[in-house]
Amino acid sequence: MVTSHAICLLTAAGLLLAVPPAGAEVVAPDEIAGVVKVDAEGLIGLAQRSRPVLIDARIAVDRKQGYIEDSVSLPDVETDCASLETIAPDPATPLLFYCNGPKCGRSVVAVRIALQCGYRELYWFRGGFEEWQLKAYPYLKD
Amino acid sequence: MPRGLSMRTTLGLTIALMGLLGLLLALTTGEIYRRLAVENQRGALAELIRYSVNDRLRELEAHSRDLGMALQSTTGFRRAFDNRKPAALAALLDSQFHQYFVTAEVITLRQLVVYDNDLGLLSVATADPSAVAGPSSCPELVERARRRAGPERLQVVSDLCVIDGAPRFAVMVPVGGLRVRGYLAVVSDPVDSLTPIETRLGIPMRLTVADTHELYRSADWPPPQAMHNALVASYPLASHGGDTAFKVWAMNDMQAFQAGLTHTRYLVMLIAGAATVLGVLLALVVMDRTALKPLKRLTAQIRRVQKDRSQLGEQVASGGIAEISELAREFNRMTTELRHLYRTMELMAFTDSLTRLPNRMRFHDSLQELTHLKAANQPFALLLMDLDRFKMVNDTLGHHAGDQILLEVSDRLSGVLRGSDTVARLDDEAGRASDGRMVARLGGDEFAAILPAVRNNEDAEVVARKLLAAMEPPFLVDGQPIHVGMSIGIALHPQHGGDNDTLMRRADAAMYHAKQNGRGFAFCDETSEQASLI
Repeated sequence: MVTSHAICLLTAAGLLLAVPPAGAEVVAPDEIAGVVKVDAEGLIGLAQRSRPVLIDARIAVDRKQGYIEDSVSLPDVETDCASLETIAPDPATPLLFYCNGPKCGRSVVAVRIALQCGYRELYWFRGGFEEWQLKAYPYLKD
Repeated sequence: MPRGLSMRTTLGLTIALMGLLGLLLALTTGEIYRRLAVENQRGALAELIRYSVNDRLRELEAHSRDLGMALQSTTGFRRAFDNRKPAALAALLDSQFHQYFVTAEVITLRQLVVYDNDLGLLSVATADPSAVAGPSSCPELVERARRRAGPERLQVVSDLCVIDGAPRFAVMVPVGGLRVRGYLAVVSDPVDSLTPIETRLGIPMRLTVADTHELYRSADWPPPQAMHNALVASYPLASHGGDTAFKVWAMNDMQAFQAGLTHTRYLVMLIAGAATVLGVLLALVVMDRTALKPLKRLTAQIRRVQKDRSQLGEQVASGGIAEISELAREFNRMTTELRHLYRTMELMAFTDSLTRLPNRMRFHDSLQELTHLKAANQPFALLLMDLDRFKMVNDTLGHHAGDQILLEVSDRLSGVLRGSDTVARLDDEAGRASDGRMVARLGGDEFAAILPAVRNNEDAEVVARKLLAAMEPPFLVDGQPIHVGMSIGIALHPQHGGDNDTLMRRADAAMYHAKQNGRGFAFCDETSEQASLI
């Protein structure tokens, strides 16, 4: 009996260890609850309607290959309620997050933080810069 | 010598012809392979150009886009654009021709054109301000940009076109970020972007508009007279609408390839020639052993037989290939049959058909041999015999009876000559005893005999009396006894004559004498007067 309990505990510990660490390169989920998923055209349509704040969740190195004009750089590792507040003090401001693409998890992490900080209108451009470039939309390079 | 071509020549020519055909086939195949290889290389070269050119154009597009995007995002440009200040805008655009992208020869900038949101022209800057103002940017591209709607209007578009005989590459970027307010076209000359291909790939190239107007030619592009060793491939660069803007030509030196092919061709010819000669020699040796030699043996044997009939029946060793072996076997069979036939014919010619005794011709030959060919002094007796009263038998009892009697007579005569006083046995075929005794039918009821080694009348008389005695028993014809007598004339060699004519004449006279006086037999010296009378 004692032995079987020990095995159960060891198995549980193994399962916990198997969960990937946050921020690593994983395939992004299809949907995120409480967030509106958009594609490149959805982003353009949104920008023409309501002037959302575009947040680039990538780190500086990734941003160097190009970025969507007017987007603000805020890497996911620096994202918290305070840094978000400096960009958008009003929690009613629409925020749109993107990173490199479906294989990048930074926008997922960032948009979830924004959700916790109480922002009410959140958008997530899942295709990210990869989709933007592929569809020949213009981008800037520093 | 036989007429027509010999087997050697025919076979040699056939193999040589086959060799020649094989060689022609090999050379033809080689030529086909060469053409296929050249076409294949041309295709590969064209593919290489296509890949390189598209790569270079993508790079040019990226540079143009980056230049345009950077320019339109500057605050100075935005201000001049938004406030619609053409002079400020023109000055700004002009200054770009002296900026990094141009001075570092990243792109060869020709035009910068600014449009409003509906593609209306706002400002144009040209590399050479003195140039006559032509159409700005690529008209087709502008038209295409105008037709777009929705988010598509944000997309960066590019195209190739030819303006005043010069190729142009235009890239249009939106002005104003996500809220498009206008467009900026970056127009460059693609030739300078494409020419580095020659150093990157290490192959000479040309650029032409409409095949004839040359835009660029590598320094090492060969002169027309040296083009026969060159493989030339071209790749047409088309505008978005499908019109060919210009063509890129590339050249590959085929000299090494051609030299290799020529070398291989000579090697193939050499090997084919050697193989043919070897084949001819081998075939000749094999044919000589398997066909020619057996055939020669056959021919030689046939010639021998033609000269000497006694060679008939001589067998030829069969050998060589199956057909000739069969021919030899058939020849052997035929020569055996011919020998048999020849012997039969010979026999028929020299034999009396009724009695099977040697006939007159044979008898004369034998006599001739004895008097001429052999030692002339060899003694022998010639006996001529004639039946008495035979004509009467023939006339009264018929030819059948006559024939029966003649047969019986020949048997009895043969019996006497082969009889107890002689050990010799008559050879049935030759009609002659082995010691030279011989009885023959000369015709009708006339018989003759040769008795060798008889030297005097006494010896001859012994035999004559035996012959006469043999005639004494009656002949039975259909159960009826018939008496037939016989008269014998005897001549002795050499005392009564040296040649057969004399001997025959004298024996004949003696026989006549015997018949006349009924003594049964007579010697020729008893009838010397008559003999001399004849």
